[in-house]
Amino acid sequence: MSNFFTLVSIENTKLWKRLSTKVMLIIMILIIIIATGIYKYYNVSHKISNTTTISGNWKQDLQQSIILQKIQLKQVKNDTNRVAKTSIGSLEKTIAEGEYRTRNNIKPESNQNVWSRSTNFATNAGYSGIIALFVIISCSALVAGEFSEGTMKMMVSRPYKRFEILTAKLIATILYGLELLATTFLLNFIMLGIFFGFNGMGNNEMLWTSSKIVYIPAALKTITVFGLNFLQVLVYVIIAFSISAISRSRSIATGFSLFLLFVGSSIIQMLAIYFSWGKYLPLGMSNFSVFVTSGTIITGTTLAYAIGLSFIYSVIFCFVGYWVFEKRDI
Amino acid sequence: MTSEVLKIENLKKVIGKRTIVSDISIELKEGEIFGFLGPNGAGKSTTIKMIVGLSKITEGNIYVGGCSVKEDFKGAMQNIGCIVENPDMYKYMSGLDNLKIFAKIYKDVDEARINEVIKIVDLERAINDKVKTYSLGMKQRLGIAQALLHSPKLLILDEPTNGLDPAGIKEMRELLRKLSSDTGLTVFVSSHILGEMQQMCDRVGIIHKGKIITIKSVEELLNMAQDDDKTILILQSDNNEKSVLLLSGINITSSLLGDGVHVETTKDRVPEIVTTLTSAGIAILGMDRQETQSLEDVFMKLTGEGK
Repeated sequence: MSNFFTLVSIENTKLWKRLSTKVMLIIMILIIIIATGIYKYYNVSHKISNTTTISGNWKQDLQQSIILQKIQLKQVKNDTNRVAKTSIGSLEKTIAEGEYRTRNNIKPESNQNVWSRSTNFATNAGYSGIIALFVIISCSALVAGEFSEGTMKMMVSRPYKRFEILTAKLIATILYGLELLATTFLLNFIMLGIFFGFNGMGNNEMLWTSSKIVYIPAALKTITVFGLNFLQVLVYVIIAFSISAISRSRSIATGFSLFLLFVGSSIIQMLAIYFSWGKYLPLGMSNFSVFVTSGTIITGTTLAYAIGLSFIYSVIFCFVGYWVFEKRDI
Repeated sequence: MTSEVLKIENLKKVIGKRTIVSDISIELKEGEIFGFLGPNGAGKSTTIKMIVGLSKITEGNIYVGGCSVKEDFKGAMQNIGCIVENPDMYKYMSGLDNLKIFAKIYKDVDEARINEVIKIVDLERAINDKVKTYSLGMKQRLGIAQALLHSPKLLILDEPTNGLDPAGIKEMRELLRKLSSDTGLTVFVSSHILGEMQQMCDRVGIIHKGKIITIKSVEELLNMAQDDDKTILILQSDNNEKSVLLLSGINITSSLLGDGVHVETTKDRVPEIVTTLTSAGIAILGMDRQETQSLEDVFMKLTGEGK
């Protein structure tokens, strides 16, 4: 087993010795600094206030809008148009949140806490897409790249089983992804804190679990959202990894995975909206954090279902990748 | 444990319906340099790839230092250092970083051993440069360095002289000779250039169209060529044109080439040639035997290629 960790550390060294690995980390850091900076600049130049005034009878207002939303929900549910049904998820979430708030007498915050500010900003800025892009690039370099550079034969003719070599590569890429994620999480939090204040660090927030509301520390909610985003990244990394092992072509692996990430998943999501069988397709619901931040788009699906389905597909992808790599003549 | 460092038993490789190699059996003793000869596409690389586990074995088995490649892959690979096809290293790293990476794989390879190996292949000056700046010769040497790191019993080199200049080839030859005599390293080296093998190897195996044609010592093979006593003499005289004419008169074929008249003859007719020419008043300035007794001829004869 210690042998295997050596292999992981070897793959890790190879990864970090590549200039692109360092450059991508630097790009990530710059993107976060610039994006938060622009956000701050926009807020200052448009004199957007940090705080909102909460009226004294917020409860009555909320109750009224819940009633309206319930009517809306009933209409949508009876609607035969499948596209209209996409709002069911978000309506259910909003109603549940409103009811939880009124029932437990939780007054809305006049000043958004730093946690939810950082969650919202990370989601809007699409950090997870950038992380996925970078990890896919480094994954295909580590797997398919070694085929095209001819160094794969230098690795396979060593006292290691082939699956160990491949697994070490996968772990090294996942570690890189985690490093990018941790950097993003911390830097985003720090930058927004500096620009807008570290207020409400110990606040609690409501988290929608697709069926009920749980009231948890805001920090935990932010971590959950980042974690779910990382699971999404992982799905595409596994696709890139498998295609790399099968096609041995870096460009095919990178290109195809990115296509699936940015275009393919939207197409499959459309299929899932229009057809009832669409929800069994892979990738349509790979944007896991949507389930907790705004509610599901595809009716009848939950976060657990989406993760379970993606897990099964990932296992299949992985299996095919390993099988081909194990059998092939290099 | 068998005393053979490498033992190949009835090896066969089939891809689809095509048989790439079959009935390959080779045994290598310790300290031996074995040349694996054959034209391009004869199955040299395929055989080597099966030895180092890059290619799956269809039938037969391979033992390296007593470990079966099929059953005890890790054990077998522990005994092998190799370069397959090209010495492909991580180009974005320095030579030293490359060696450090490969050194990590094996337990007993420390900094001192890395430096020792760098010294052996004489790469001290460039070791901190990126591999992408290396010449092919330097890459070959770095390749040998990584193959030697863990002091394997068997060194496998696939066309190691490819792309090397004559000086580089000579260096490589001397290095391999030295390694095998100093450390008892067994070397399995493939090539399609026969001249190199002649000077480098103890034994040679010739493979053609996926089958081993013969395995013999270099001497034995050279003797095979000498059985045939037809030789070509290179004759220089003060009138080469007239010589050709005269020789055709006594039924000896000759042709006028750049370095003199090439005369095709047997030993017993040489005195006759001399008398014929001198009696016609031609001064013979020199007569040399063209060096044809090489593996080249044996190879051509055995494979039935050429004439």
